[in-house]
Amino acid sequence: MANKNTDKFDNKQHTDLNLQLNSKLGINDFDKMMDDTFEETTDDVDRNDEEDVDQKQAATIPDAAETSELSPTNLEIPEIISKNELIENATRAKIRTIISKQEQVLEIKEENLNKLMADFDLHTRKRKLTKKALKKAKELKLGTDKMDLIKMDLKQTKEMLKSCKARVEQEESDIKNQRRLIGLLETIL
Amino acid sequence: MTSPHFEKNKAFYEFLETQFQLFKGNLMVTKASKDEEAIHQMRVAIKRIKTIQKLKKNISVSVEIPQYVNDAIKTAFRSAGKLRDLQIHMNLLHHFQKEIKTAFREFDEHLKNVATELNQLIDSTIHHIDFSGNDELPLLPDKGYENDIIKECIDFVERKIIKIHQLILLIQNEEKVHELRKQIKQLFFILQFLSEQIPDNLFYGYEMKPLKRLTDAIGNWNDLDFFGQRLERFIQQQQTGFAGKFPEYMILKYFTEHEKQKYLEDIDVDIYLEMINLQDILKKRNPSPPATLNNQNIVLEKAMNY
Repeated sequence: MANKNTDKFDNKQHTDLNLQLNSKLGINDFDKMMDDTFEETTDDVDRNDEEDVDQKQAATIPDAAETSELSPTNLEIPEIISKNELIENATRAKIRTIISKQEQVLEIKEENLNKLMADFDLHTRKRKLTKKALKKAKELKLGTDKMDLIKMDLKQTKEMLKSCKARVEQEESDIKNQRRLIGLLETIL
Repeated sequence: MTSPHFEKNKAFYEFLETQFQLFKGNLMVTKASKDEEAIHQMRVAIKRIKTIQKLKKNISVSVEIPQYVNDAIKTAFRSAGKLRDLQIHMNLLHHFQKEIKTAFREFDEHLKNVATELNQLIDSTIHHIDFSGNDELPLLPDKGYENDIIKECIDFVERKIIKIHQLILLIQNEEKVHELRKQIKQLFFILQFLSEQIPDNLFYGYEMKPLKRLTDAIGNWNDLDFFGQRLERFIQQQQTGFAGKFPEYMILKYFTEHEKQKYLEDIDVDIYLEMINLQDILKKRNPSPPATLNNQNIVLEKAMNY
């Protein structure tokens, strides 16, 4: 309702008034006129709103006879409570299902992390072994070709180790977030 | 026209035939005297035949080992293996008797009793093996030499190198050391064949000594491992309070474990370097980096699954 009334005073009227009055009145007079117009409009709006509310109340508040018909009986109240409980239980069940699925995801992620950690351990061992071999190869003064093979192996091992470390960190962060999510879902229950 | 691969198949056949003859000769000596060296050599010949059998799964060798040979090999290998282990354990005990300056009479007596039982067992098993009338392997067929078996052998070597690369990363696990020992031994036998029998291949003239030294070291580790297990079983079979009454057995256990670990010291580095040496030879066949180094993911993933 308020919008309807205020919309009446649209931009076109505003411009017309502006043009008509600017020549006759000073700017302050114009502003005063604008304020008065606005107050009148809002008064109308408030009045109209009050009328609406009264009408609505009249429509919704039944008379005494009607009230006794519409209010739930003693038998209906437990039924309503029971329905509400059912809705609540269904909601809880849904949340539990979501939690259970999230826990499965978490389990898979934890398994992945364990594999990655084992992988990381293996890469670390490989790097140690290759470093020791390179040292021994230098002592034995092995040929350039063999030294190059060991160096290439060491380089690749370091790259694998670096990539594995990044994957471990990512998985750890994912697991942390996953646990937080499960925790939040549990608070809803 | 003869296939270019016939000669290589023939070399394979001759190698197998030689091993078969060595097996038969040493079997006869074992039957007669249970000579320690004869038992050992008989088992070596069997292991070589078994390696060829393993190769047959991967390469198209035109040699069929008859079923009666396979059965004889199985029986001889099992019985002689037990006796061979026992002989090694007696030698090890003798070594520790000197080292710790203790007689270990109870254990010595126990080993002698087991030896008597095993000799009886061998008499009842090996003595039944008879090759009279079947002294040769079946002749090579005239046809069917389309595949380059040497190329297939070298592929096999490459696969063994990858496996060994995986296993040396898991050397702290004793089960993996046993697996590593078997893989190295198979590699050793196939390289021995390639380096000595067939002139025109990458590994012809390959210096076997470093790999032999590694095979021996890991073999000694294996002997001490089985010795330790036998000693442990013996101690457990004794009456309560045995360990308290004969504390020298705890010292024997300690010495065994200590000596065992000595054989594994830096063996992974030495094996790794020998594998690099082999990969360097393989580079001549394929100028790109060897599969082992070119695909670290495969090496490590497989190592994880071991």
